[in-house]
Amino acid sequence: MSLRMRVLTALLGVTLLALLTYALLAFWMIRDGQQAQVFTVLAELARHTDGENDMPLPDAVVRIDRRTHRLDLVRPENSRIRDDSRLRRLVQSLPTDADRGIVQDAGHRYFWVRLRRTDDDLVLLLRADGLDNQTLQRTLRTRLIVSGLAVLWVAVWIALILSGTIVRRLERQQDILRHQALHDQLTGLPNRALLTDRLETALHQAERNGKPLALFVIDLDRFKEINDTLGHHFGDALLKEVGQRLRGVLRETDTVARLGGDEFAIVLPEAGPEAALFCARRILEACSDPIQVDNLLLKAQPSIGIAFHPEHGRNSDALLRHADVAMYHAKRKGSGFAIYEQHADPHNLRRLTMLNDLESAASRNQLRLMFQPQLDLRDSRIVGAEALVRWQHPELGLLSPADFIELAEQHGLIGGITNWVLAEAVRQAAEWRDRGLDLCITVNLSAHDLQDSALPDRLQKLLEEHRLPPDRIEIEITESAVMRDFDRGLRICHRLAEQGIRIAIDDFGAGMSSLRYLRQLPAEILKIDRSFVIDMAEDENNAIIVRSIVDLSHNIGRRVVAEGVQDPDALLVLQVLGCDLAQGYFISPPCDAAELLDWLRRYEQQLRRQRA
Amino acid sequence: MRKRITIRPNVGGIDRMLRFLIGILLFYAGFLDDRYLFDAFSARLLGVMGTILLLTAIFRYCPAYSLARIDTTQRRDRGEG
Repeated sequence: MSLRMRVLTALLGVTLLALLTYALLAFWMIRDGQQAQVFTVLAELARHTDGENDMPLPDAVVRIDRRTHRLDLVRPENSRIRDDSRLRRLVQSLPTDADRGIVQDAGHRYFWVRLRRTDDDLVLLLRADGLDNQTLQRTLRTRLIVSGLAVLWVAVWIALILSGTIVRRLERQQDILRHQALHDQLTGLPNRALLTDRLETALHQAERNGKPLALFVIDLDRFKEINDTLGHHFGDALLKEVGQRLRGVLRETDTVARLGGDEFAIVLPEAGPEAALFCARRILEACSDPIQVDNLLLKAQPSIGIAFHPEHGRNSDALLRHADVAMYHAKRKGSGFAIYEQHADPHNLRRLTMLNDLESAASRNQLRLMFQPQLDLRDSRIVGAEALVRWQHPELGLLSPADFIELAEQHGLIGGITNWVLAEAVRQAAEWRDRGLDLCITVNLSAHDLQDSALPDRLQKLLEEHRLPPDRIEIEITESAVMRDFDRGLRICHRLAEQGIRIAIDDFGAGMSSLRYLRQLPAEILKIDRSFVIDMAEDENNAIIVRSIVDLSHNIGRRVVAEGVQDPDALLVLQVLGCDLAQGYFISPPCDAAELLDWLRRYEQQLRRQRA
Repeated sequence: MRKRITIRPNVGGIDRMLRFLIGILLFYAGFLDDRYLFDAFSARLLGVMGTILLLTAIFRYCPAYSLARIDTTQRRDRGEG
């Protein structure tokens, strides 16, 4: 039955019950009133006795002859009616068609009864002053009002109690609903809505009493794998157990919630960095024991991101977002937990402003090309230069590619930057050729550029515009960039190679270094990753690797460039190992076109002096 | 060991005062003075009602209130009324 129907039925029931009770009471009281009349007469009769043997007698008995209408009066000795003529008048005034009634005479009230016999009527009269219609009415009225009040009183209470019961049931249902709405069904922990609410409250409190507050966002590493390989049953059991363990290490005042999936969050009110780190370690410790599900032992490795109020945000949104960022940071580092760091946040304000400016950087002429010369180790000549893009930001100063290339890639701005770099490199190469400098410029392409099938045509057009031979431009790609979409990347590389543009593989040895793919790529040059070159003089293993790469490259007909040459020893070793080209700070740091010309002039003078 | 039943007071403030006032009036008219209600039945009925009101006022507890979850004491933490 619906709730509305139930309430209506209850109210109707109470009303009907009250009405019925009242009707019964009224009926009973009216009957009682009539009986009271009889009792009054009887009581009067009992009081009025003959005085000798206490025989109850009426005050008068009158016989009326029906034919002659003659009255015979009989009066007992102690009758209270003394006057015969009065009595006669009284009897004659009685209605002949009624059998009984009450009549008033000279301030007294008489109860009379008429007995009809064959020849005559017998009328009995009894003085009964207690018999009073008005009194009767008054009694009835009072009783009805009072009993009505009492019935109403009881009915109101019954209605109240009923409504109380209904409200209680409603509240219980609401409690269940509220619990369902605010809690996660699987783990029974608060859900995101309740967490946000608790977090807001805790933040208000923290604002008021000036105490710190920590927020954890926890994610289980490789949870998806468990779910996918073992099934949801295992995943669910794991989540449940983790929820319990989290609850187990926390204080009563802390809130642990499941945000969804394998993501949990914890609010630690009044927890500074020390307490938060302690808690994070305890969580890692609690989760380090394997969890048994059926017959399998599963491991839940949490990554915890930590954000503090007020350092990392004053509202729940900011704190949650920042703890989330820290969590990803912890996951990447594999460190278990990490505290939010603004500069590592891909969404921080600096990056957002940068993104805004980056869109217009090329058109506002804020991009610069720097060149790092490449040395031919066989004849010590400078044969080329790697073009490196810099961004002259009006507020942040000169930014290196590490500061903005990733951002540009994420937001699809890399194409514009590449176009600018290619155009500038081709222009610069043409300018140098016009000045009689025979230098090849190397340009780095990102993974995104390798998906751009229009790139070879664009480059071709640029070369034609400046009437530059294609071997003056070299394209550098990383293995991982090609691997992103190997077929497409390979196609573009082949087209570039067909146009006569040289292709170099950057950071060789640091990525996948798949020899099969290497064979397929039309690359002429391999660039040894700088990490091997830098430590080469100290670490014998690195030297062996460099030598192996050099040998390998030469064996398959590729040339080798060593990056990161920082001291004369490394240069010497590379020469001994038979490396073809070298670049690095020891030879020259990246510099702009004008500086490079100066440097070249000085270098050639030096070279001539050495040869002379 | 005796078990103590503690009853939470649920009658207070104006409610309690009204109960005292009406209770005393009804008790007086019902049992002590027959000038107002000459009918014995009505008098006794009102008297009983007055007695109940007085008792609830004295003990600050009304069973019907607790069933209906009404609370007229100053505490506002549970129920309203």
